[in-house]
Amino acid sequence: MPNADSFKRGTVEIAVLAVLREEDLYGYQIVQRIAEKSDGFFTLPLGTLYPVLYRFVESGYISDRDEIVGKRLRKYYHLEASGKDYYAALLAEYRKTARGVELITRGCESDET
Amino acid sequence: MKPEKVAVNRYFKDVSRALLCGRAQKRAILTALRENLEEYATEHTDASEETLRAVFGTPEEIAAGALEGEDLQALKRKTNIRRAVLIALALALLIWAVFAALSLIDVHTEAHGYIEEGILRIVRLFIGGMPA
Repeated sequence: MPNADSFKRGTVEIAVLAVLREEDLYGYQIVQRIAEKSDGFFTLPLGTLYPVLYRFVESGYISDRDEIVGKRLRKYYHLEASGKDYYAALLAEYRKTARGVELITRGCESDET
Repeated sequence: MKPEKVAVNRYFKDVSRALLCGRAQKRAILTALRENLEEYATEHTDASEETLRAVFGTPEEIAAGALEGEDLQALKRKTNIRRAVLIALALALLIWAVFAALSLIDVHTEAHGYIEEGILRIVRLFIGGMPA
C-alpha cells in the first residue's frame, strides 16, 4: 500500500511514548508492547527504535538505566515529566491532523455523490 | 566461526556503513544494536542475515530513522569539511612524495651513481638536514 510506511513512521514517536507511560521497558519489550496494543498493526523492527530512543534521551524526554539480567546488561527506559508533556502535545497534534484528514476526505466523498 | 555470528557481523557491518548520522548518535545506535544482536544470536542459533533484517530492520530503514532527527545542513557542512581535510592531506602526501623522489634522484646523481655513497647522503640528509 503506497505511503503506509511513511504514515507509520510518523506515529512511532507517539507509540513509543504511549507504552513508556505505562511502565519502564527495555527495547525489545517496547517493540512487543506496541505490537500487542496495536493488534499486530505496528510491527516495528527493533533496529529502527534505537534512533528514536536516542533522540528522546538526548532531549530529556526519557532517561535510561542499565540493569543486570542474568549474564546480560539490559537498558531500561523511563518516561520523564518533559516526555509526558511532549507526548500530550504530540497526541493533540496527531488528533488535529487526523480530524483534518477526516474532514477533507468526507468533504470530497460528499462532493462526489 | 558459527554461521549466526557470521550473519551478525555481516549485518552489523552493513548497518554501520549505511548510518550517515552524527558520530555520537551512530555510536549509541551501534552499541545498542550490537548488544541486542548478540542476545538474539545466542537465543536463535539458526539466525541468518534475512531473519536479522526482518527482526531488526534493513540497514536503510535504520539509517532513515537516524537521519530523521539530524540537522541535515549541519551534517552536510561536517561532511564537506571532512572531505576537504582528506583532500588536503592527500595533496600534502603527494607533494611530499614528489619531493622525496626528486631528492633521491638528486642524491643519486651527486653520488655519481654509487649506491653506498647515495645511502650515506640520504642518512645524513635525514639526520643532519643537509648532505655532506
